[in-house]
This record gives sequence, structure tokens and C-alpha cells, in this order.
Amino acid sequence: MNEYVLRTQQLTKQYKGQTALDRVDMTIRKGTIYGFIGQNGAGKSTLMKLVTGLAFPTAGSIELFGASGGAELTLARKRMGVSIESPALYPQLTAAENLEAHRLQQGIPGKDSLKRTLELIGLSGTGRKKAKNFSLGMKQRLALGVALLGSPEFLILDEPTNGLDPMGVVEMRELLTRLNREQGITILISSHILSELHLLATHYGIIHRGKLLEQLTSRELQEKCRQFIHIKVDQPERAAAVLERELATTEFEVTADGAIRLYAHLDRPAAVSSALVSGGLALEQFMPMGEDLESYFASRIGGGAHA
Amino acid sequence: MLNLLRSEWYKLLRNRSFWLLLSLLFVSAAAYVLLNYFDDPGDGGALDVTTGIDLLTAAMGGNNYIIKIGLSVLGGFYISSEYATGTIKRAVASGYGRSKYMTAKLLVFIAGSMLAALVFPVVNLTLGSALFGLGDLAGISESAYILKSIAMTLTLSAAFAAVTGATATLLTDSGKTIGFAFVFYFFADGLYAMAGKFLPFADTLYAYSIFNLINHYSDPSMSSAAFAQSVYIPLLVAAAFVAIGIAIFRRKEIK
Repeated sequence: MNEYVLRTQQLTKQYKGQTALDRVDMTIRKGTIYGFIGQNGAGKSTLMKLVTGLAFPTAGSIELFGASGGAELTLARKRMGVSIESPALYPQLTAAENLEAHRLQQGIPGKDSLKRTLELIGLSGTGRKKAKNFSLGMKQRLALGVALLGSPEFLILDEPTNGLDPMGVVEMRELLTRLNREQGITILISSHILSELHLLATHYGIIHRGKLLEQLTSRELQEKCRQFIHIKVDQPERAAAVLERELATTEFEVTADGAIRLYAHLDRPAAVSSALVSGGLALEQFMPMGEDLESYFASRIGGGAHA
Repeated sequence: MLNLLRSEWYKLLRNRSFWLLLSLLFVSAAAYVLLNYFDDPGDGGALDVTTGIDLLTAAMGGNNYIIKIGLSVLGGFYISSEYATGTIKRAVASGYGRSKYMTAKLLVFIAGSMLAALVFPVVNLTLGSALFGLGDLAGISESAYILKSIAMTLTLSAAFAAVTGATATLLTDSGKTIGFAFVFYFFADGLYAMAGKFLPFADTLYAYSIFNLINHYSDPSMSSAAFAQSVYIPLLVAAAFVAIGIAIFRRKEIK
């Protein structure tokens, strides 16, 4: 069995001379939840469109379930469930009818899959209500339901939490986690809510201006988002000397604004503060801090940007 | 392929524009027959239709516009709306080849269009025959004329539907599709005539085009050769434009 669900090599897409995707080598392993992070226009949707066959690559290759190119790749897409950009639904049809149209198209036997899917996405009570009258959150859930019909092995979800209320976001996260753990569905997901993505993803890809800057596991991210004690004192140089002498550590850095980031003795904050006060320093600020996915993403793309 | 056809048929049968078009055609056909029925020539009435066959001939003359306008609207809403709603993305990513998907889409659209094109003449004929009697024609049997009329309605509507379908695939926007098809269909005769002044070949082309054939297809005195042309030329046009629609879609990037 191929352990990779998706592999792209030097995948490039240009629109009228503008490079939307620049030589992207992406790897998604079977059974992972791959959080795809990037600003608006960074290339997330473009990559998803290439993988799903909506657009054609300018250069490079796509390997899906081991199949690359031509009819083989097209056939491999039968194993995917997709929701890209806005929820793609027939507005005049009910939730059940939307699912039925997709069921017929995919040749999924038995109508009982409709009921199961409606229950799974929490829309079993919508009856004759047409999709055009759904809230954005309901549309998102129905789009996910359509993507899930036919038991896909790989889900591609572009901003699936758009329009969901806080409870809806939590429910979506729990549902995706359950699908991943219980059914082994591999998920490629992009979201603007990085804190949510942080709770969900097992792997990350950071894309910026069409280039895939980095791919990392959640463990690697954890290591990179280092925790530290933020210390602000009246004399940073003297504080540095105290830390070296009294706590025997050089695992700290002095930032441009004179603050100290101490990466050691995180479990002994009392000892640290006591050493500094004993060294004759006035403590102005003293608190444990650390980077999260959001700040790490900002630092990777050069700061100040929104995903 | 069968799955795609079933899914497309399911969607067509739940398409509001389709049912609205069928209802409008049914009501207007029934109203036309009843207008004739209640219009008394002896009381100053101007309408002179007196039999079911007469009504069929008149209906086929009017069907010219129904095929052009009605099918443009249906094409706009049935095909182009897939782009507006984004459902085309799901279809393309569903693991079927683009050619298969578009073939199914266009075939179902053509089938729906043929059905819609039959409503006005068939209601006129059946309701008219019920009220006035079938009537008769000089030089041709009624059953032969009815069968020929149905056959030509089907082939010509298939041809116009294929052209509209290819246009909708190219333009991807309901409004643009409807607008373009309206303008093109209604000015096609004039465009051919204008082109004919400079290129004699354009006149010949027009003589065998679906735009000319549809103008004459209600003529009961049509020769067998003309009838044959009204069957095979539209079928060839339909096949060609289905192929063109597929070729366009195969190269189209979905935004």
C-alpha cells in the first residue's frame, strides 16, 4: 500500500504570466490531517484546484494514491471528497436532494447513506427546506456531507469553518477528528482560524506567495514554538550575568527592546525570580510565554500578516 | 456514464426553470387553442383555425421562437448555473473524465429541450383535435404530417439545444448565455443575408442551416428531400456542437 495519499513535485501554476504556485513539493501521508496555512492569495486554493482537476498545472506533477497523470489520476479522484471555496450546492434542492444528486452521480448503492450522512452532519431535521435558505454554517455542513458521501479516503476542505458559529467550529473539529481517527480519512484542510487548525492538524504546510515554505509535523511545530520566561528588568546586561552565574544557563536571549527570553528553568520560575531579585535587579515583567501557530506562521512569512 | 446521466436527469427534473418553461408552454398552448375555440368568425373573430391539424401547423410556426428563446433560458439556467453555484467543481473533481461529464450534461439538456419543444405543438394538436376534430390536409396524410412534424421538432430542438449548450459551456454565465443566444439566434438570418452579399457561399450555407430549416419546418407541402434535410442536418449540427461543447470544457479551467 502506498503510504502517501498526495505527492506533488515541482508543481507550478501561472496565470497570465503571474506565478500562483511556484515549484511546490508537497507530501501528505495517509491518515494525517494536513493543515494548509497561507495568506489570501498565497496559493492554497490554487493547489487544491490543481489536485482536484479544476485547473491544469503549468509544470510539475501530481501523484494521488500513487496515480499520476491522465485517466489514472482522474480515476483516483473518485477516492476524494471535496469542498473548495464556497459550499457548492444546488440552491433549489433540499439537503437530502443535494446528497441524492451526488449519490446518483457517484453510483453509491442504497439510499440509507443519505440518512446516515444527514445525521452525521446534523441536518436530518431540515426536511423540505431548500439549501438556498440555509445559513452559511448549514451550507458548510451540507457541503461536508456531500464530500463525505461515498466514504472518501481523502478529504480536501477549503475553509470549511467559514460562517460557522463557535459551537459549529468545535463540532466541525470534533467531526473531522473522529473521521480521521475512526475511519482513517486523510484530510487536507485550510483555515483562517489558526488556533482551530492547531487543535486539529497533525501536519502543517506553510505557503507564502506561491512557495511552500515549510512542511512540519505538529511535534516539530511544538518544538519550534518554544516556551520561555519573558523577563523585563531595569538592567538587562546585569540580569544576563546573574542568569549565567546563579542559574548556570546560557539558554536565553536579550531582545532588541531589552527583554530577556529565558528558555531554561521553565519549571522553576520562583528560583529564577529569586536569583534576579537577589542580584539586585528590579523585576518589571516576569511571565511564562511561548509562540503559537499564529505567531510562528507570522514569523515564517515575515510577520504582520494574516492567514 | 449511466450514473452521470441519472444524476443529470435527477437535477433536470428538479430544475425550477425547466418546470416553469414546461408550464408556460402548456398554459400558452392551451390558451391559444381556447382562444381559437371561443373566437367566432361569424361574430367578427379574426382567427381562422378550424382543426387540430391547423393548430399544429400554426403551433409549429410559433415553436420557432419557443425553441430559440425557451431553450436559451433553459440552457442558461441549467448549464451555466452550475458555474455560479460552484457545483461544477464538485462534478469535475468527482473522478469522471471531463468528456464523460459534459457528454452526460449536454445529452440530458438536449433531451429536456426536445421535451420542452414538443409541448406547444402536442398540446395544440391534442386539445385542438379534441375540440375541433383532427381535420385533414391536401396532398399528405395527417398521420404522416404529424410524425414528420414531431421528428423535425425533435431534431431541430436538439440542434438548437446543442448550440446553446456549447455556448453556455463557453460563457459559464446564465445572463451572458441567454443574452448571447437571443442576439445570435434572432440576428442569424440577417447575418447570413449580409454575408451572402459578399460571399455567395454564405447563401448556400444558410439554405442548409438550422436557422433556415426552422423557418420552413411547419410547411405541410415540404418535399421528402427537404424533410430528410430537416432531420439529418440538425442531427449533424447537434453532434458537432456536443463535440464542440466537450472540447471547450476539456480545456476550461474552473475558477
